[in-house]
Amino acid sequence: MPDRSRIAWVFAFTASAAMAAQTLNLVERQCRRLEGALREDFRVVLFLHEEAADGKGAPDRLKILEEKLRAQPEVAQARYVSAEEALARLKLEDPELVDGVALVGDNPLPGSFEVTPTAEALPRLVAWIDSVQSLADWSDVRWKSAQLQAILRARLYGHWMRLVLSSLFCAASALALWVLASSLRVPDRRGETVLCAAGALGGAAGLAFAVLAAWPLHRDGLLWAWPPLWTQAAVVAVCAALGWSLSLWRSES
Amino acid sequence: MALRVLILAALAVVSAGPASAQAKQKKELARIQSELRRTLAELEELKGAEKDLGRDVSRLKSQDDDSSRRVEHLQANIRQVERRRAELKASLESSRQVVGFWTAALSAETARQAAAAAGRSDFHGSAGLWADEFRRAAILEKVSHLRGLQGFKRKTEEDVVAARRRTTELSETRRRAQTEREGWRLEYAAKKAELEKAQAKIAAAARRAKELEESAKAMNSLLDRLAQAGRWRKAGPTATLEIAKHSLPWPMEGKVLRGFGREKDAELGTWTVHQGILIGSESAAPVAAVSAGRLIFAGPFRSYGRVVILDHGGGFLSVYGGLGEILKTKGDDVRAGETIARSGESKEAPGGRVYLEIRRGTEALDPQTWLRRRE
Repeated sequence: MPDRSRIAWVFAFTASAAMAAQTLNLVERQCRRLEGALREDFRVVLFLHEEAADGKGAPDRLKILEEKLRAQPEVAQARYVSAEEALARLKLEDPELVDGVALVGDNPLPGSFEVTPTAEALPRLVAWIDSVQSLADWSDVRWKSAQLQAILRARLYGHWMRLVLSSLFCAASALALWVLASSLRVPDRRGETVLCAAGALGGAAGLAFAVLAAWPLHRDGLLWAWPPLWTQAAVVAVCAALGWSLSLWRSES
Repeated sequence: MALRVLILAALAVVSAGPASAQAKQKKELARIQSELRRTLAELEELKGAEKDLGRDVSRLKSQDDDSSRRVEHLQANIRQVERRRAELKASLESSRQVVGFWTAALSAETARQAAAAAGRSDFHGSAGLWADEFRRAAILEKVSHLRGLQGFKRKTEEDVVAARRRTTELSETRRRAQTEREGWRLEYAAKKAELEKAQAKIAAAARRAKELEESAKAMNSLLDRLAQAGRWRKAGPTATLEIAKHSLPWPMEGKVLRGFGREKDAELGTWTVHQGILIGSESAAPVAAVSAGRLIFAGPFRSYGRVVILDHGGGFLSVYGGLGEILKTKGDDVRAGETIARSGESKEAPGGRVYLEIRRGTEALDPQTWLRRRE
């Protein structure tokens, strides 16, 4: 029966490791959620000149243009939004704006194409926009560059988090495998289950502590995502393996 | 007065004697008829001139009417331009207000756009792209509308200036037309007055012609009467007045107002033959006989007033017309220088005056040739 100080030490160590892993996991999830949300909202709107959307043969021209846009490899989705549809949408979203601005009574909006780029195209979006300038005589091309930057940064930070977590998980897994292999090679060496349990408990406590620490963010954040359960289980398992390996290391020493 | 002269000439013919009086009478009648023809010719000329004047007056009246119509037309044009100018001014004022309104709306919209841009999230909300485009398009539309309004305003301002210039031009043209019309009116009035004057002349000439006709008839009658009476002493055409020239006394003191011979009427432009002279004097001055003789006629005769005719023998007569009171009676013998009457008055010679003729048969002699020279 190990003394209490060892159990406490294992508990504290695994709790700290689990909390750090959980924190990294939460950050990675938030980055992924943020990127997804921003990317889902992100649009490039190509506004036509008024005369391009009117007149004889305009529907055919617009259809062809829409097909050309869809044929672009960087385009996930493209659709024509008529001036009337855009105005109706605006009226739904902000009726005061329409009534207050359009004093003349006419619809000043031109026809437009709403394009959703693929995720892979986002880093090269400016180059892609340059390439589609030749497709038609656009009166204006609008997108939110800050939103694009946010998407790219969230993707970058998420990637880093995943990289760190993956490295740590791989290291912990390698340690656990090494300990397991050592105990199998020397039968009289058996880990102490108490320390293993202390490690698992420490991991669970670390996870819970991290969740509690992040709870205010969850309450106030609009873009909150919990990590999947399997990651929780993996962290607890890794912490249990750490406790087990620590008991072996103590036995050898 | 020409009529008077003619009649006195006829009287002189009568006094020349019954034999030669017939021929002289015919001659005098021919002369009177000639005078009558001339007067009638003058009358015709005057009528022609009246027609010309009438045509001129009609032409001037027509021109005056044309000018009047032109002035009215110009005034109508000016009123129209003034109305148009007022409309343009109202339109300009409206344009200014509308431009002000749209300028304010544009400023407000731009401010709203700036505020919206400041409050907009650049990190989320692609639907806002349409709102941005909507604001931008609305601003551009307002700018376009405002430019149109400003162009209209500028055009209206130019139109107002053009209308003002047009009004000035029309006013100047109207002023000129009115001046021209005033000129036509003055000329019309002058011509009309001239026409009235000509008509008065024609009436006067007609009256005179009538008088001449009546005088010719009267003279024929008088000559017939005197010829039948045979009271005058014979005198042939060869008779001579046996007195020296410039030796006869003046019948009265006074100035010669009108001489012997032809005289042009300044008003009528016609010539009148005067067979004697008109002497001006004081009122009721004594009129003396220029030579001894017998009074063969005394009394009023038509427009000559009171007339005295003295027969000096040898076919010579002296005639005194326009007298006031006659102091002798027919058949009286008078001496040279004896008072026979008092001078009368007329419009031509306020105060006294007497008309004097000296005749040899039917021939009228210039009395100043026989009367004494005056200093």
